[in-house]
Amino acid sequence: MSKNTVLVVEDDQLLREVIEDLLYIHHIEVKTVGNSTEADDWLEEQVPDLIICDLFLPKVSGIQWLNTVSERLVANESSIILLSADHERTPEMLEDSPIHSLVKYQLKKPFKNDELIRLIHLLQPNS
Amino acid sequence: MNELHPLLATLVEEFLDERRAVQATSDVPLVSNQVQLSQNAKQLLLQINAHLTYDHFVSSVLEHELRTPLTGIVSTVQLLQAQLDTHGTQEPKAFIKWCDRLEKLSARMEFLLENMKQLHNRDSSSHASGRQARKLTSWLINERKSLGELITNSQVLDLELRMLDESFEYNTDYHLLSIILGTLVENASKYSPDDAKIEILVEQNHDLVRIKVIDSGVGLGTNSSENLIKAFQRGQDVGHIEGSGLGLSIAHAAAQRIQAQLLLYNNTGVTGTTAELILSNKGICQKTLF
Repeated sequence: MSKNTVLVVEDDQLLREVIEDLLYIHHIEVKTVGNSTEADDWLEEQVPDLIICDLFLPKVSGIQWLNTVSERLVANESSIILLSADHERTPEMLEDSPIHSLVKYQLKKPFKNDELIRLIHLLQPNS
Repeated sequence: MNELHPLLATLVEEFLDERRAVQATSDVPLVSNQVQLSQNAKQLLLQINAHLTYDHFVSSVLEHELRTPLTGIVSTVQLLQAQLDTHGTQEPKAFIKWCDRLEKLSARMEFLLENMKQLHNRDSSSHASGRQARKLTSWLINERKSLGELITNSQVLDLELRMLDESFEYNTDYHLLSIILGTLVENASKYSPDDAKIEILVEQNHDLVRIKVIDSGVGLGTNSSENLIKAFQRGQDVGHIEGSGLGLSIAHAAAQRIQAQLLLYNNTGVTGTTAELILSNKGICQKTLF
């Protein structure tokens, strides 16, 4: 795994597999996890440059989890793409959050594959 | 929204009664903006407001639950299209895998939609919404009355407070906190025997508060907490008990919105489940106890 590996945190297994296949086809290294604990474990090994994170996760919300690991993400200048169904409340949830500036885009579900790939290349030109 | 109709009808009747009462005691023609709202009317307006907020919240949770499999379907169709455009049908394994996934995603979508049909709105008895600091002890004692209405007549609801500081103030959206506790107590009642005791144990230690709703019901079985908080997932051994399965999903989403954690686990040594809500004035509860 390298820093170029995109970390995808999504609790829905089928959607996780879809994103994994999509990124694999576009030759983008990807690691998918289903919850914040798995994401924490993986972060112990490597802080990725790009995280794609679902807003609703089983144990804590996506933003709650990102807040808990914010120091490492800020130090690494990681970028974050948030996946959500509800854009209206995200600004409220991001208010005063240490990861506020790291969230570069919010993709509303359902998104277009091309749009996700374009954003990944934009945020991570080496991918 | 069904719950709103009788509330609105009562509110209109209340207004008409007030108008008649004012007209009967006064010779001066009534000017509508001079009418003072009675306590009853104010209470009804608060209840209607609570219903509207709750309905919006339920819709928001449902929207998220439906959009996730929809995203999978849309993305898989796009993958299939792209694959067809570039490789034709040269890689049948990928096609079979994606078609199989489409079937699963469609089944999930259908499952959610079928359950949505059966979803009934529930009464939400809390009052104003929005964040505010309140003394938790007084709020809980007051809330206990409305929580008691959610259990059956033969069941008992016990509230035990173990507060380090009786005047502890907690800053949150009490409307959402009320929804969470209501859902947990309702669930505990539903899955417990008729004469069961349901216990609410509140432990406060500095900034951390644990609210435990303990029942003696059927327990979680082999279900994981993570599965149960997904929309419409229900515990095993509950086939005979009516329920949409959406309650815990809503409670979980509400907990996330107030930066609390909701945990579910089987009681140790005895039957039943404990639903534990962890609150902190410092906002985020970082550790998970799943």
